Amino acid sequence: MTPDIDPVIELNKLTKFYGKSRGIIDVDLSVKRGEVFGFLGPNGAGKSTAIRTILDLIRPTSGWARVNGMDPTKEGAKVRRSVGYLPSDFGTYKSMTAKAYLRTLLEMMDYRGQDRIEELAGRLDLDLKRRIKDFSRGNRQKIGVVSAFMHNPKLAILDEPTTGLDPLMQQEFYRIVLEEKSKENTVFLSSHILAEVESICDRVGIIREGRLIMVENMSTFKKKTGKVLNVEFDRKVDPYIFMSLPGVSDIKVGEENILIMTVSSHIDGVIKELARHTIIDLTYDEVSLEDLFLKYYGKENVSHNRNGARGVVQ
Amino acid sequence: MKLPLFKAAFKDQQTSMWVYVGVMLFYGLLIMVAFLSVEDMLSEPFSSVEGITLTKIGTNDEYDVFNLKWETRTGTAAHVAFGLDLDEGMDWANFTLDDIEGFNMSQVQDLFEDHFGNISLGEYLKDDPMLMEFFENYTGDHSGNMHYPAPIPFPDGKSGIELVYFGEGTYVNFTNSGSSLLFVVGLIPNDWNLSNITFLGPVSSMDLMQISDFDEYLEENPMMKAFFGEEMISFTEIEGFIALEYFSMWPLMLLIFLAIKTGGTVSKHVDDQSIDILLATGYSRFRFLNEKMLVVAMNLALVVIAAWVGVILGVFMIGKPVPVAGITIAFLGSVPLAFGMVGLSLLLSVLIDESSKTTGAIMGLTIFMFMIQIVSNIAGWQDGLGYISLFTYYDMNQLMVHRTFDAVNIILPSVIGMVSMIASYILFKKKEIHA
Repeated sequence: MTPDIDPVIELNKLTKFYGKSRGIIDVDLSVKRGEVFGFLGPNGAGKSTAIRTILDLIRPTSGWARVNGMDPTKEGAKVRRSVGYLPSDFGTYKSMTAKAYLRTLLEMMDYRGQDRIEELAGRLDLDLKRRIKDFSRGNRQKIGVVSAFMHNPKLAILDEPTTGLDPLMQQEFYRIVLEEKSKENTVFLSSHILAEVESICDRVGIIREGRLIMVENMSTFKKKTGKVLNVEFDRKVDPYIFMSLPGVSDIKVGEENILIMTVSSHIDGVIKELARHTIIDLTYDEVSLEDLFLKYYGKENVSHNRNGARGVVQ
Repeated sequence: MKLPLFKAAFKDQQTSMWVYVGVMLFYGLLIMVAFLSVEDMLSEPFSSVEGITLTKIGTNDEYDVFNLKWETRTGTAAHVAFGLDLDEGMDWANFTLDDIEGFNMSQVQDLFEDHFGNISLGEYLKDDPMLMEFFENYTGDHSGNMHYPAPIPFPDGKSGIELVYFGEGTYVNFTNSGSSLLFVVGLIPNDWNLSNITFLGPVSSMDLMQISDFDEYLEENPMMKAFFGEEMISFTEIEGFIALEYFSMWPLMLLIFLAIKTGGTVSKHVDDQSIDILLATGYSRFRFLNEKMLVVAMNLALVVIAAWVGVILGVFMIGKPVPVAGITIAFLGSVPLAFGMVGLSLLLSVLIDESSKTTGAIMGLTIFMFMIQIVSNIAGWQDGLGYISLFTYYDMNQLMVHRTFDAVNIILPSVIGMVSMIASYILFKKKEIHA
């Protein structure tokens, strides 16, 4: 199976409406074997809807999906068996220990190979002997992560996988994902955190109000998005000095003596220019998803997105 | 065949199931101990005045069987016991024998003469031991005493007197087929002068009637009749007692248990979103439901067995002969009902995503059906409205006492169960599982 001929996930005009409410509209997408694909979008944009349709938990209104060459609407159970899935939120048998629960899932998968429960639990610092009802939200999320990878799936579909994980565990999770990639396994993950997607994904698709508005390679995407440089000077500085520098795409004058600029590449020139001034404070952050939308689609659309998306998609 | 979901789901629910199993075991034992109290209550002499005591000792067909016992005195030749059937509305507190209409010794004599021709009772019995022997043979009392078996209503129909016993003994066991309310014993003096008879009593069966005629009470009370069933059975026999006190409530207990156990089959997992990971294992929805239904079946089996053991042990413990067949059939007869309930509960569980709402709806349905059964029994709508209640399809008397199954009571709830179960499987297969 070569990636170009037979993508692991293929969506063709996949559309889902909940009655009259929008879920996803005309989503076309192809995820290749061995890549880590980030499905980026704000809450309510339709990420979970797309994933649940792919896994036959809900059915498309129109269009179709193929997962590992199978049609989920016809072979839902087989599709699900062929993937490792982590839902955005999930319940468990709370009276069981983490280990018993994960073993039950393995038995349900009828998985007979070498499992990774102990290894993954060790890496994520998950106490397998404790009952699930005693777990915090973060620890329960670790169970989900283990369940998605414990049976060595060739394809993992992860819906907001780092929710509830502390930063250390998030880093460990990223390592686990990158290992999957090195094994030529495919990971499809949704997120509303730009930095997360940027740090581990090969490609990114942005979904907004149910539509997939952009799919890019990460390198191209990063160039487009840039980072936000927030500088406080000891006196007022002319913003046009920076505006003319290469890689600076956007500049705003903040309160006091602050300049906020978006830098997508060539940070070197900016730093050299900064060195000529007295700097009180400086931060260099990822562009937020909202700022990204603001940059590409205008203020009006963003505010519409925020309000319009709320509660529409489950 | 591996059943990992069944094992996990069964384990997850087992605490509440074992509690119910324990309760059913305990309830069976407890209700039988209660029977002892009823029996004790009935065997206590409920009416006793100086020298004479009336005690209920059982039932024979629909009549109570009493023991009437008295103390004799020196100078007594024989004893004569009468049952008196009286008008209602008498002033019992100030009652004397003189208040009994028609009760005078001439009538007593008439009573004897009705049966022995125009011969003075006194003369006959005094002078003719052969007649005494005949009297004994005629009444056939095994104790050697005699009693006069047939009720003799007085012509006026309002009140009457019946001869219960005549002889030298000091007690009589008799079937109160004349439904007498008061009993008196006359001590006939050695000179056989009937006008010198000393009377003991009266003792009354009134209090006892109120208890022992529970069946009659039910018959006359449509509300109670609706609750306990169409056909009345004796409350004072162990089988009747079990049917009335245990199996009248059993369907409700069973159905509520099943409502709780089945209600969460799908909705609990959708509500707490545990279904996502369970289905993500590659389980088909068909297999998911199969194993979850197996959990319900296992719960049902364990609770029925616990209840069965409880009742059997209970009867055994109080030292009564155990009506194993009747009890077993009464439990088996509830299985179609259970199947019907499981089907309906599953359907609601598939249709309603919030588990608290599912449980509420199923409990509401159960109580609604119970009320429908009562209302249709009162109004005689068993063949109309009653059909929509599962409880209608459980006849404890027929199962427990007559030990027979009614085809309709098996087929209809089974069809309800089967149809709703098939519908549940189809709907679950089509169901969209939202996050």
